[in-house]
Amino acid sequence: MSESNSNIHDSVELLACHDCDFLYRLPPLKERELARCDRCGSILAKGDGNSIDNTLAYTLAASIFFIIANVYPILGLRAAGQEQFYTLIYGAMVLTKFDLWAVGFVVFLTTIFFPLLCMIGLLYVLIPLRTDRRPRYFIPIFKFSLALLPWGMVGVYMLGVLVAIVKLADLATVIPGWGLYALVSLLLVTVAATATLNPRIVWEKADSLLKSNPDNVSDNSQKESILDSNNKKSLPESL
Amino acid sequence: MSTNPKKAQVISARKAGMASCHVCHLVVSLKKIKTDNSCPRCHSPIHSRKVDSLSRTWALVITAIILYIPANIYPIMTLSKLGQGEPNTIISGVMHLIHSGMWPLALIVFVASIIVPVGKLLVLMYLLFSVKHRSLAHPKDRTTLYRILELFGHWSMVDVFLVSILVALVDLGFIATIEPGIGVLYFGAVVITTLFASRAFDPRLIWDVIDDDLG
Ligand SMILES: [Zn+2]
Ligand SMILES: [Zn+2]
Repeated sequence: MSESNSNIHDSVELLACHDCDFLYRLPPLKERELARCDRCGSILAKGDGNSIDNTLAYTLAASIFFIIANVYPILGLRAAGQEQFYTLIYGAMVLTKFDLWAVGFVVFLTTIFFPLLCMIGLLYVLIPLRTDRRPRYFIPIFKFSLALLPWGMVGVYMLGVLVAIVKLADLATVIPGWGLYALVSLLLVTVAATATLNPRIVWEKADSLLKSNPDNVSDNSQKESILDSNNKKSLPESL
Repeated sequence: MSTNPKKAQVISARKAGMASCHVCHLVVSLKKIKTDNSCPRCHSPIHSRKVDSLSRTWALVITAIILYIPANIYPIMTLSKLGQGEPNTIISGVMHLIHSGMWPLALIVFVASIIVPVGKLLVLMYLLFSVKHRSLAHPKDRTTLYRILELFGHWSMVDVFLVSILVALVDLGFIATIEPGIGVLYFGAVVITTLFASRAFDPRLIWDVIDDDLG
């Protein structure tokens, strides 16, 4: 990681547990070290193990698998001399034929649109940050990507594919398509990308870039003054 | 109340007059942001607790319970083989999987399509009651229950995806076709509603009672 990032990382900062509101002064964490809340056991923070580089690499891989998974058919069916295949997008569109456009729309959003927007958003934010540039509109775009993250459901969709294969086994021959292999790969790199993504580090990195830019000092000085004003003795030295 | 010096140290952000931003988790002093009420780092509105958490969660839980009835009565899809129609509900789909002998998969689908949505609604109602009655019992276990809800809630979507996959794939004319049923619309609505319900609940409300009790 770059020097500016490690400076921020070593600084002690306040953190409130998201599940029980317990207040902590966060000590520097080792690589991939987890800080857990003493009181409720939820994860407070993760140490930075090159998270920006790793998330970026996995997200780039994900975007390639995403394209393949959308271009090639997922599954095919062979029965009575007929062969037919379906693609990811057709799986969502077919429901509109039966007047279930709302369901088709939700399938489209959770399996295609949200994962796509999330990938684009993360790439847009992480590529410049990696080379110590803060991208334009960083705040709304990163916020948007984080909000969409839980609404991408590639893993659940994979389970659906698995159940479909089993259910159809006695009806016809099921043929896996290239899209299926891409979908499995997409799932694996998406899990890796979300596991390595450390929003705290991304915010801090973006903050540190603001600080070094004299035009934007006002934004960050506010945070500094908030940290200084706290009565340090009243806070538990937990962790 | 407590004379234990270690317990006297317990302090929540709320008690310290601070709040953590729900988007970027920055801890800010509430006095300093009074004017615009937004996070200095990410400009999201700052609230010490989720707004109207209990009433919003209740409304979504009740909506989900009502939707759950048609979701299980109406078929989610109909398999037509050689002109013979065979409607499938959520429960009959799981039964079919059990009879086919695929035990591990049947178990996963049983958990995802029946245990998760029902369990989620029951747990949310228990949490809502426990907060309403200012329960002091097992706050850590209740928080863990909530975290499990957040972790597994979306797996119930598997039935919705399954229907979309089967309908797209099985279109062999007279030999076999699968058509979606209205049940999938209701079931999808149940899943989405419960997802929003668990997000509307604020687990910090469990601990506010304990913080108040400590004085
Ligand atoms: Zn906690
Ligand atoms: Zn914020």
